[in-house]
Amino acid sequence: MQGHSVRGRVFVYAVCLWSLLLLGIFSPEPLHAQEAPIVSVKFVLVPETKACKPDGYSIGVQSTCETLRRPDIDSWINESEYIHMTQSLSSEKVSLNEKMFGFLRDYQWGSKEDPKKRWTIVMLFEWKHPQSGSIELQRNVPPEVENAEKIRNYTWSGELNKEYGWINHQGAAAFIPSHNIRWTLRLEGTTQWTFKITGPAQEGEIIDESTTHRP
Amino acid sequence: MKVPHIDPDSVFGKILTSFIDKLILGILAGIIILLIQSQIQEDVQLKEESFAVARVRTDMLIEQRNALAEAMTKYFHLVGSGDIFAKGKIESEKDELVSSKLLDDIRIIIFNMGVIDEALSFSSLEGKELIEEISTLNSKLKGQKNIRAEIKEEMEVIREKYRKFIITIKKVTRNILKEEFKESLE
Repeated sequence: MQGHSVRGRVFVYAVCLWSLLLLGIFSPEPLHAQEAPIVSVKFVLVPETKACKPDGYSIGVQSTCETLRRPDIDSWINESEYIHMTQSLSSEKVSLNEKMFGFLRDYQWGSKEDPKKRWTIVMLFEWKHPQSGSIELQRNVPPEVENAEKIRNYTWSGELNKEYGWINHQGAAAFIPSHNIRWTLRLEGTTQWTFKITGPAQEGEIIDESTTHRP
Repeated sequence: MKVPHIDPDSVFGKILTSFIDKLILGILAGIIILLIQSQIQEDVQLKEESFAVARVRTDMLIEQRNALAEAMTKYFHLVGSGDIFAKGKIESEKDELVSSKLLDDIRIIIFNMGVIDEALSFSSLEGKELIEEISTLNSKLKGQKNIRAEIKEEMEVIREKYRKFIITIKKVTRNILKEEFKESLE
């Protein structure tokens, strides 16, 4: 009787162990959770007629701009002609560097009627491993800013096909910290990053490093 | 004392009589004129004093106008000569801060002027355009590598807007002055 039960128990344990192993190997989710890509963003501040050739943005109409490509952005940065910065989206706060902040501080009082006097911030979102699927950038504007500054809520979307980056550009006025505009970047509907633009980080200020994306 | 008796019908008497008459009239007239004059003086003094009290808005406007002239002079000096003009851009941190501060100062001055004069609210047009031009130039000087060729042209535009604004301020100040003078007479 004892021999029977010992063999029996061992058999049962073995079956359980095997099943767990098989379950582990063939489970729909891989053993390690899929890591959300780390996103870094290059911001470049350029005149609107440079970002959106030839005549700048047209109002109320779908984008008539010539497509911007990476080499355009690289040339602006390499020639040190325009203000630029790189930030990661690991924190909800994206702080402007001194130069960009100083620019926007004066720019906010300028006329926004003439495209030749307007400036644009081009964002190049980049990640290490090629991504495919839908990508979306949503801009949320507080109602008082929407009315006063005529900056609307808007969502840009695109399709990635094994790509390392995505370009988005819009009026620089949207990046004035005091407007309190929130952005949300969504990758293939599953991963998202929310961020706000703030002034330059003061010395000693602790930036919240908690991750904000949901796998 | 015995007053000598003068015969009023004699020639001397007649001359003396008419002289005394004229003297009395003269004295009376003098007294009346003196009285009128002192009344006028009092009036003028009262008007001056009440106008001095009533011309608050005029005074404030003149004060703001002088502050504007000072700030604009500093701005033209900053941008039109020295480092910024030579290099065609704002490079040093000091110039960065000063150019922003001047834009802010001018903006606040124009805002104050709008507060003093609600009826005409001229600050909504000429003043606004002046601020926009200064902002445009500052942005160009900060955002781009070198715009030396354009600085002169930009400054011309700013000068033109400034001139238009000064003319409007003059008109408005004169109107307010008249208004406040009338008020002080009430």
